[in-house]
Amino acid sequence: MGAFQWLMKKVMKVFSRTTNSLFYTLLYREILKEIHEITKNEDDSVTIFREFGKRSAYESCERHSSIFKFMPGNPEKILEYFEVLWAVVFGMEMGEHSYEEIKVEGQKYTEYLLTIANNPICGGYGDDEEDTFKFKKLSKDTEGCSAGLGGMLESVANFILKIKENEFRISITETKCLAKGADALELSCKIYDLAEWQELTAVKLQDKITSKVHILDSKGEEEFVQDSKLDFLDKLQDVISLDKLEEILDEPLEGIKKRLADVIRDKLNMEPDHFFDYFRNYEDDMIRIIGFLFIHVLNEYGGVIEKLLKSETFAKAVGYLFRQIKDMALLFIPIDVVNDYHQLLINFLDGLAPPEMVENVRNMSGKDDLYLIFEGAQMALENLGINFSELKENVWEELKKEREDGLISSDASMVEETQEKFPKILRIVQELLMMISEVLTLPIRVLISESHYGIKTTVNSVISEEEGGLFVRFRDRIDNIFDVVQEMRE
Amino acid sequence: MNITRKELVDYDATMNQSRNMIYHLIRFMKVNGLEGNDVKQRLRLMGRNIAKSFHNYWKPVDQVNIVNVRDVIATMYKKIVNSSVSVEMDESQNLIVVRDSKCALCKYFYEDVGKFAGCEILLGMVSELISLINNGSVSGSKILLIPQEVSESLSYGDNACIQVFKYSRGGM
Repeated sequence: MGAFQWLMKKVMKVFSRTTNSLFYTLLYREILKEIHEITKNEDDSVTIFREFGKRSAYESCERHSSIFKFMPGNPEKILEYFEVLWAVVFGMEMGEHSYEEIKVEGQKYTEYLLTIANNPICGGYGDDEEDTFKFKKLSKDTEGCSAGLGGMLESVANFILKIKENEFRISITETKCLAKGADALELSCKIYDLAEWQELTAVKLQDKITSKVHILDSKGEEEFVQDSKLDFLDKLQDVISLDKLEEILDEPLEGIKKRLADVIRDKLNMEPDHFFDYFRNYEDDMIRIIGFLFIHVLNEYGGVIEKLLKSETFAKAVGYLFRQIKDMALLFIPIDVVNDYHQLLINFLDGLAPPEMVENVRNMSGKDDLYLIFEGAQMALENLGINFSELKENVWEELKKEREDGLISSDASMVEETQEKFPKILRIVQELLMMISEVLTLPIRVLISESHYGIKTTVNSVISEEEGGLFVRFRDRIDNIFDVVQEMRE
Repeated sequence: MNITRKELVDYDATMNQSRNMIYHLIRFMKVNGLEGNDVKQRLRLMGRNIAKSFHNYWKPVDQVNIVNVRDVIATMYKKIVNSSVSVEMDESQNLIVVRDSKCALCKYFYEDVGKFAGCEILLGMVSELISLINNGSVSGSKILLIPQEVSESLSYGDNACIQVFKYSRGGM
């Protein structure tokens, strides 16, 4: 499983509601049995069950549409993320499985067959007296016990394709079922053009079944989806959908410089060296602007920072945190690392900016860069609502003052809860600080390898799991954070 | 060899979609003529069936009595539906009241579904599980639970789900 699949799995897991897997499986069984209690027909029950799976998943996706916007937006890529969906739904890895691509003559797109050895849905089916639904009575063409699951997975996959404005859809159907006597679960994934798909799904569920039961019509996929209310995520996903992140990691420094040069030519209608010439002898301000712009660009997406800082208490808290980071930055960032970043800046400007300006930047130190960036960021935060001049010497004095004012709750249970959570919060802060420190060592590797193999080699080398590189340590720390967050949620 | 139910006891699964599915089932029941009370009884029956199978693979204690019943119920909710609940006993009316503010089976109010709570299933499941644990026990201190009602629910638009059981000592 790749880095981003792993990250997605963690995020989705933390924000989902879990129960015991056995309860899940038994509830799934009982729902199917209750449908059968009404239809009295096995084939119809499975067909209706699949539809319920589809509708349920679609409803869920609609509520959490933002999270799916980070998923890749083409059918083949989505199938690569199948393992993620499986792990999130069942809380366990997919285990032994295989993909098979089948090219059928006359068929426009490749069909994929996914064979999975272990299926929790029918794990142990038949062992208990209450397993009364007769899967073996199902006709050959009807799906088996994973019909509901297939419906859910199909819905999620197509929801992602829809919000990514992709013109394809996927069908996911169970073609072999362990409960029907097969030796593994087999899912068939077929890709369709949107028009073809709409035609295929136009048949009403009521017309697919033979028993005389009533089924409410689905609201329909097209009218079901609403746009996310979070503009911030809408915009962010344009930049960091998972597949695009992978592309960015593949891009060496020269590529990034070329892109920036193209943007300056395209948007400002000037050559890059003319643009940078405006900052000649004002290099300090240029570096301040980096910090200033960084905060404002973050705020640009939905005005989130500005909204958060409207609360006086929150603004103060952010102010203290910012000041603390500013004061302590050089304590936990080795000066060599800071200087490496300075060198990276010089290399970045070299070729883009006039030589005189590059020389001026060369005469500054990494430490200067850091302070100037913080100054710029502080100016931006002041603009957005933090009054740094009002802040006390340290945060403890502020807390003491508020206690005297009676602003912090004296409710015993609140205090107990805070005390209980405090060590966990400290652990999160500690893990975050460690992560930041480790990321900051990246430029050393970047600079060393840039002259030989470029950024791609570096990123690949730090991603290598066998070497126990940056990625592994990074993943361990994020793992710890997710574990603590989950503990806190429980 | 497929995964076994015994092994499944040690894993967690994501409930979001299956929770929604319960309400599609309720709609289906209603549109096919089941009345309000019938729907609730069917949901409780589902819970009892789940308990009968679950009991074959997991039980928290060998006997449930008046002393440990609150802890046993809290343990069941934690283990099975991953909920931290508060359990109160009203000895004057022989009632046990379970309050679950993050019910795994209820979350949203659906206008078209009406006043039905997915956690009717838990009402059936918990009472049956306790009955199965105490089944065969000759101790006079054992306790039995009878589902009464879901008096409040996230599915009704309330802030928490409150499930009410009636209890009797020494069996019914």
